Amino acid sequence: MVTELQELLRDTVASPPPDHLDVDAVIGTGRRRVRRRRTTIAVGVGAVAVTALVAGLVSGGVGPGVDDGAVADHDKESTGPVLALADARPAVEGRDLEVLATHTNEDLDRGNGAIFAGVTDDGLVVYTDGPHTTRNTTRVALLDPATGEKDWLPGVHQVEHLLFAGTERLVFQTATPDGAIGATVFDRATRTWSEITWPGLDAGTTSSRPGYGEMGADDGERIWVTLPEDADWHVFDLWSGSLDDPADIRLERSAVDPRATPGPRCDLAGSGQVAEYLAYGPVCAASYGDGAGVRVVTPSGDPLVDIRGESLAVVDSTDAGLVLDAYAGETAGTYAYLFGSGALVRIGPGPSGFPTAGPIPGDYLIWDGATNDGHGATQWVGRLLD
Amino acid sequence: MGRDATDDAEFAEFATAGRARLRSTAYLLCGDWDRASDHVQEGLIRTYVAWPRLVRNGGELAYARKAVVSAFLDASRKRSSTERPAAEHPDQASGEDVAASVVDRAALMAALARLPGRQRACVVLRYFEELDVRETAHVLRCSEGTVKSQTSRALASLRSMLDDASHDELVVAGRENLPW
Repeated sequence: MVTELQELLRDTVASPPPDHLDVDAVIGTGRRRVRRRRTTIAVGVGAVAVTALVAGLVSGGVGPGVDDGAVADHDKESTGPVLALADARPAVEGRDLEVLATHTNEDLDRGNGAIFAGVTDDGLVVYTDGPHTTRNTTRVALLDPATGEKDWLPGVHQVEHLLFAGTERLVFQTATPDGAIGATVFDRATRTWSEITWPGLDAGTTSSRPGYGEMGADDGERIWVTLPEDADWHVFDLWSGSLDDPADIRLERSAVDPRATPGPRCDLAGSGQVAEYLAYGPVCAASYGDGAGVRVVTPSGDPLVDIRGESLAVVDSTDAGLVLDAYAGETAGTYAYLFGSGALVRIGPGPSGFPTAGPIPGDYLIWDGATNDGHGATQWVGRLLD
Repeated sequence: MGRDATDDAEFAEFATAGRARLRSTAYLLCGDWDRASDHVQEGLIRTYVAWPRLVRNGGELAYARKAVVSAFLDASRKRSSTERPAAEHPDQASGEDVAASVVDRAALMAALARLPGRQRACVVLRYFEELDVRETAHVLRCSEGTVKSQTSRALASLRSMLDDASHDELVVAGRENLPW
């Protein structure tokens, strides 16, 4: 039976019809999944704005002088379909989204820091465990969603946010007792850790400046950091430092005011659009001035959809859809608007309020929801399907 | 710190060399050459994302095979929740004068089609890809015991369908009522 079966299986596929698979298209789609790096730092709207700003500045993409981002006269201009959060249906796994990994921490309030910290460029989930209560060390694993297996990296380290997760390096913000600027780097090829600080940047923070604002590492080559220029922390200088040379620091831009430049925006010149739209993946979106929804348009200004809901904001995007958080009211939750089907689906119970995801490549998403009466959080790693 | 043209060239060479084999596996899983190509495309995209790690650690083909099987299982779940497509078998018997071998192949595909997806995957991985129990369990993310029991049930079902029923009946059953 088995021999016969093997022969029959081979015989069945012996004369396949022509294959039209385009390897270049595979590589093109693969690149899109890999290259779009996003940083989500859940420590407040201001920090998110700063992060978006400096990410754009380092990559040379942000224009100056936008207003508060509100959609003007939305009642008059709305011409696309209108969806309400209350009408969203629950997402169906396998049809609307693919969940690759999930993790629940029931009690993050107790300093139990086991979370998904990000996803590497080659699709491994960075899992950090720590710090726990009075122990300030963290151990790190790379979780392969395909197998569920964790590869624990050697040693424990005093690290904070994951800043970069590449195929060659992981870069963490170092948890230094004096608040000095430092990074802890894991070399994936040699499986070794190293630490680096920039004395030139520290000098700036320990004298006239009480600390630093945000820190990131977009390309795995340099970190960027914002140093406040004023006592109110409204205006920052943007510096960068090499991860390979502590003496290599650069002032990238001075007197940056993130309140005036919230992030990369869509160029809708000539489309008749009045409001300021921010770029989210392949679309542009803006919040209503009254905080009651989001309008989504194409890069040329054509209306795609208006999504109405209380305390609603776009928090992430991929080529397949937008992710939105509704922070209050009966419709509080995490939602996805799927570009292909035009469906609005609910993918989670709403943000937990805990700092969670760091760098995420390609079309991956990490979203989370509160558990245990708000003391813990469940995180999901997945992709929207279109 | 990212991938370069050399990585892409190596991946393209790998994809070109391995796609036919992967497509055969996908076809035996899904029973449709066009959908098999879709599964291979999705599997290769996932492989591209993981490529630098695979090159460093080895196991490119095993990962690609696993990715294709995952793409098939994902699509099976998606299809079962939304639609039940009409079956389409380019190889299937089309008239009274078809060769016996063609009928045998069609009967096999019809019989495979009547197996649950994971049992079908066990058969294809064990007897077409010639993976052992441990490797099959790794691809399907289940225990070795599950592979053994699923394979045993699948073989019993296939034996029953192929030995006890006529090929014509199987072909008709497969054409009219494919479960995926």
